[in-house]
Amino acid sequence: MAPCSRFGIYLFSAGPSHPSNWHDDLKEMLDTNKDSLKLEAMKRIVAMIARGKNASDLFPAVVKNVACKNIEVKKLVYVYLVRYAEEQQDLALLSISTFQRGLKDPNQLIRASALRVLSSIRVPIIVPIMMLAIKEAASDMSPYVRKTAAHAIPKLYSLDSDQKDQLIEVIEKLLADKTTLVAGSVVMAFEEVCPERIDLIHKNYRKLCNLLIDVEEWGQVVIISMLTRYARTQFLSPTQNESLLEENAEKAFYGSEEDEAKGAGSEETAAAALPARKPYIMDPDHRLLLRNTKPLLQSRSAAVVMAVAQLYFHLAPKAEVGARGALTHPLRSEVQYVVLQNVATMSIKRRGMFEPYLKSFYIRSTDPTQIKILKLEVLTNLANETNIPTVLREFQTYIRSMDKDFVAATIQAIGRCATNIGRVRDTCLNGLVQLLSNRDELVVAESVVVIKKLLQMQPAQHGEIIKHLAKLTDNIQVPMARASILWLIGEYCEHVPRIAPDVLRKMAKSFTAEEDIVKLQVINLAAKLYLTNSKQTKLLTQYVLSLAKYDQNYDIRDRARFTRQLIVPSEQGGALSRHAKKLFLAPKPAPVLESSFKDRDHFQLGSLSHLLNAKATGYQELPDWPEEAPDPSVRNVEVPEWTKCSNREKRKEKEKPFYSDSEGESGPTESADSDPESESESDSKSSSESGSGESSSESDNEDQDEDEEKGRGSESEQSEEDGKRKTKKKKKVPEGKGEASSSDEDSDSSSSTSESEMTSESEEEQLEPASWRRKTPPSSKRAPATKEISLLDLEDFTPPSVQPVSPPAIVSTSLAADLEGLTLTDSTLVPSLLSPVSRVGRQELLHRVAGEGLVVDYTFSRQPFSGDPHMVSVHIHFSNSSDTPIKGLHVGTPKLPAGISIQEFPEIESLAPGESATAVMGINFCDSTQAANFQLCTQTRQFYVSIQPPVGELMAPVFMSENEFKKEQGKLMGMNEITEKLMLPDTCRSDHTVVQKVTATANLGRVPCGTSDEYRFAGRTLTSGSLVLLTLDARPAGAAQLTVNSEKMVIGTMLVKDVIQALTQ
Amino acid sequence: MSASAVFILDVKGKPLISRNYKGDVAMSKIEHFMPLLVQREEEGALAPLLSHGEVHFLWIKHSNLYLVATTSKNANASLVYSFLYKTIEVFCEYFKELEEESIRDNFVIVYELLDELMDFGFPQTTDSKILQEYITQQSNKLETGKSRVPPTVTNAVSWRSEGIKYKKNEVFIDVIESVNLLVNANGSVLLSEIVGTIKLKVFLSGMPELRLGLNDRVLFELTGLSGGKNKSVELEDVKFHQCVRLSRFDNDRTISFIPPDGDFELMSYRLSTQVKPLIWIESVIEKFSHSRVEIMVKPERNVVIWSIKSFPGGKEYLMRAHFGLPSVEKEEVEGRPPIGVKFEIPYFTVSGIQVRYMKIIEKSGYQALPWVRYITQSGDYQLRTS
Repeated sequence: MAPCSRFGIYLFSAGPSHPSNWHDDLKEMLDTNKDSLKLEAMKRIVAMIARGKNASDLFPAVVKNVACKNIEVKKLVYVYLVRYAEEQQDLALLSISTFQRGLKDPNQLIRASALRVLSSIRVPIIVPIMMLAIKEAASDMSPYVRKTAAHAIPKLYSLDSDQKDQLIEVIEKLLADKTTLVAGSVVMAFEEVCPERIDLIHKNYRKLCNLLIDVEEWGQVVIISMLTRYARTQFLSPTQNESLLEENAEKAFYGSEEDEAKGAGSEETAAAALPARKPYIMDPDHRLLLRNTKPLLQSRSAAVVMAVAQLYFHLAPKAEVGARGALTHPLRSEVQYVVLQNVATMSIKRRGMFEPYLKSFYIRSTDPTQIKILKLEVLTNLANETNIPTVLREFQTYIRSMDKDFVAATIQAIGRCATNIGRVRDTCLNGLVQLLSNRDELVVAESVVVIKKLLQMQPAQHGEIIKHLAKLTDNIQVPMARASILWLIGEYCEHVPRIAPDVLRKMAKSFTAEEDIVKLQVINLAAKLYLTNSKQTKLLTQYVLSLAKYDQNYDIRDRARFTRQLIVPSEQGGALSRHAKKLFLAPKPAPVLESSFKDRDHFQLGSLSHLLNAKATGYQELPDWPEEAPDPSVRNVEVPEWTKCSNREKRKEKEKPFYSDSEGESGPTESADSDPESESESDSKSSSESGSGESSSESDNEDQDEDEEKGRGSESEQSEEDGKRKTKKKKKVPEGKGEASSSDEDSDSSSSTSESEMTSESEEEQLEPASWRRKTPPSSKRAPATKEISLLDLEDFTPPSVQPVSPPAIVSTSLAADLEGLTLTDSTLVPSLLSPVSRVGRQELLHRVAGEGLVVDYTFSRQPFSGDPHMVSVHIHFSNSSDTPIKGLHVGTPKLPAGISIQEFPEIESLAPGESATAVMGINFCDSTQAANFQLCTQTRQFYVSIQPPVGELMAPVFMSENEFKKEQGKLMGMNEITEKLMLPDTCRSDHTVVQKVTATANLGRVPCGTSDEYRFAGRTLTSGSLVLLTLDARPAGAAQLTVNSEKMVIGTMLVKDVIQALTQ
Repeated sequence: MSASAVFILDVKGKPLISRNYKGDVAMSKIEHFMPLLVQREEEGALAPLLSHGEVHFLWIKHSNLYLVATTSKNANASLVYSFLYKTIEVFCEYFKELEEESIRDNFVIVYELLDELMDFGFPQTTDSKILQEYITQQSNKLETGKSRVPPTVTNAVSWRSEGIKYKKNEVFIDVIESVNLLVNANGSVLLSEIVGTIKLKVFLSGMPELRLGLNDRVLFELTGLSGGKNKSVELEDVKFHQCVRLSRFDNDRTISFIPPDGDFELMSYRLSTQVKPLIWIESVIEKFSHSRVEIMVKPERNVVIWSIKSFPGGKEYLMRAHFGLPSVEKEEVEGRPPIGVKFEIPYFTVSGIQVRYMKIIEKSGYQALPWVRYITQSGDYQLRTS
């Protein structure tokens, strides 16, 4: 039908009948001196090109104008050249010199467009010229020209792949570029030309991570997908520990085959390596990538969101569900089809990720069929024990839909739910049986097929259903359904011994009118009945077989002959016929109903290949995680900021026992306010500054002015800003790169850091002698630091009000932190000696009535949780007030808000009536007072319970001197300081009571204090380790002022409230 | 990496205009597109991705046009689709409506735009505001001294050009919320959510730095404003225009940005908190004898449309309609279509979101006025009847 519409297109052109006149006219116009005429002519020519008309004979006339001064004309000439240069190579060469001149133009845009056109001319002869031009442009002043150079690289590569080596050099150079403008384009070139040269990325990895947020959306997509691949080659799998734990949990109910099948390879090796495996620690660079991509989930571009989601899917530990809602959002608009395909794949492996958004996938009557079916797929994947009733109810609505394909798909989905979730199998089956009386034959037929599969799993119990189905043979006409019924009856003829022969009788009657697949099943049924019940069916069988012998279809004839030989004993006494029963009535494995998206996840999500479910040309395989992480030091660049602080964190983590799968969760929050974040900000800022303001160094100052202006605008802003600067400063100083100006300080700090490093090193050596790979000698890190500082620390120079922080104090606190983290014995002893029991006494977790005799209370013990220093340890007291023993007490699959993690207590095997038991579990609340919800399971029951921590329990005491305290407090002013006035009641004025009440409310350590009316307390939040400083200034007559300084403003505010309440009560 | 060529086809599948970016897929391959499309449509398996051998067509439909990107390599599919949508967006900015007619009238510009939007299969400058600076509709006007190149493409702030001037500096903020609701036949709410967008119309000089304050719950908790009288809303799935500093938002929930000039959508968000359905409908559909059914069937569109001009709060309306139908009956009348509701409530947001402040800071220190308007609309508001 397409050809007949051809005329539509040329309707309004002058018509192809007088081309020569037309062109003469145009040539004349191009030859004049008037730009307006030239422009008019060029516009007409371009319009011809756009419409797909041949304008090549105008080439000589057009090419003359390449040097035209008018930029509009020039632009159109460029458009023309790009289109026709390939066809008219000799003539095209005439224009080359113009471009070469253009490449030297003082105007960056002209340089860029000259390069762009030059590189778009696909003429092999000019390859050397292009190469030269690209090389030059790669070191151009203007980032825009460099960007164009990056774009030109793949063009040249496609023209002449021999240039690869030289091009890789250029790519390497451009990869080092620090501007956001270039980053996306050069990564694109990298992917196009040399995706295998992953080693080129090492040095630029951190920079790319940090620039990412400022790159334009297309660049972001490309970079993210490249980094996904990179990370797969460089880091260890974050799920290797989890998979073991989770698998056990998951095996308990269903779907384990899936996991096994998928993970078979990796799991086997994992299992083999199990005894030898070291505890998994996420490489800080891996963490950096996850952290820096997360904000991009808020991008408006669906492509970016999708890219981040796939990154999280492929790289993040299972607990970190990056995408979640972000993906369900674009469902309404843009790229629904692609997104749903990906969601379908992801929802198989990470059901939890989308579970809360189940309802977003409900189908609307307005959705197109394809979308409906994809949504159905997702709903089915998401169905689990808890939500299955809702899902099934929803499915019921769908069955009434007008869209028959969709109804059929729904019935299949019900079948899959039934196989996956044992508990609802009967419900589903009943539902499906009800559908058998539906008036729509398609529905009935589809149901029969699904029922057949379900029955195969447990045929014994379902004689009734088989009988019901047998009755249907009178009505159902759909061949597939008839065949299914016959097969069922044949297979389970023992369960319906009376009906089966009758069915065969009916079928024998209608045999000739049946469809082929039905006929085959009739033969099948006859054979099976003959073997089990030959008395009643011998004649019938013979009749059917004789009919089949003369059937038109050779398959049926063959089958009949073959069956006869098998079942009817002949004189020759075939060996086979003796085993006929075994052959026909062998137990058959039940079919597995599974998602068609099951194995798709080996394609990188979001790629075309994933969409096609087939490898497209040029697909870069997403490699499996390496077993041993390659040397991470390759990513070390001269900028040393990363090293120290993250090292410290890592050291702490090192001690974590291997089973703590909370690793991943504790990571992000902990780092949310620790140094790499602030670093990344300053880094990216400085680089974007250098990008925009290359020619004018003034812009930097302007920026600062603006900053200050903003600051004046509102006080809170200023203080916030200050606070930030301070935190930044705090973090940077210990790395020996404070203000570069004062040499005194420099030497000072460097000596102190090296000190701290030495201590920590030695400790570390004791702990883990072999494995600290990332360590590089401190001197090598520091030396180049001074070079970079000027750029990075610009912000820090501005506020003169900020006091230079003297390094020793910091070092000592960080030392303390080190100690705290490292020496387990110490920390267990000290706080338990000093901190009184929490004010919050026993809290009820499960009431006797609700728990059916099981009473559960919990207390916050304030002892560090031995498994993980970031966890709050919670003592759980069980007592059994019923009269039967309670068995198998354990924590069931927790559904936790992002970041929160639980270390379960070991299962309590049995609790006799009247007996009590206590267990300890650790909860990482992520420095928030969000409740941790989880299930308490006994062998028979599950109880939903939740523990919400008082804010005071989210911290642990820290010991510091008064001076240290004051210094730290000085750094946490402004936004981070919360002050409240209060009146102390008479009962609460003695030293003892005040201290007692405060420490009971919050797990803080007292700081010695010179003046008598002041009380000071200090602590650190458990997850992020942020300082919490509390000062109570009691004046005579009961007036008092309470101040809390903490980076965590939420915690600070809540703490103030709690403490005041405790004191004034 | 991505598209090899981009085509715009008319409704019959005839190429109106095309741009070949990489030259690795023959342009004639597009002839396979339409037959494939028709074939798949008949099979009922129409998908936005069609394949013919090694060539894959990624396509979207806009009014009566098909936009098709061809590729033979492993492209990033979501990127290509996003790009196609972006292309439509840009064309719409240029021609108001993107239709066959508008393409025919503007071949040169369309071609130039296609040229600028993508280079060698990789998206380039896609911001229509910036494109409009150097690809102009009345290019004749530009004879005088437009050899100056727009500096914006080379800027770090790629969405706003310098030197914009207005006599009166104003910002118009539209907070538009649409309510999605799905109710089943028993009257229980299956899905209820609010999807909101904040749109800005910016008439500001220079390079202003804007900061928007909302009654965002997380922010309130951060700053200790929560509790008391301050009503706050919990925003989910917040998405921002490129201009918003995401890292800032991630750190302390500040929405700060340098806005593009003119209209743009600053952010969108979602609230899944249950709201009381704004408009409730109870329907009774009775089927009497064979020939009388109590719903209206309009010829062609199969719908009953009931429009109410204004609907004061707390009121109820009732409609009763009888239809006499011909006595010829389809074997089965099943699956009644849902009732959809469209409405608009001015000066009101369901979520209670409020713009607390809009700070505008520019070097020159001018005073600028922000205007705020709230509207609630119906989104996908469906009540199932069966």
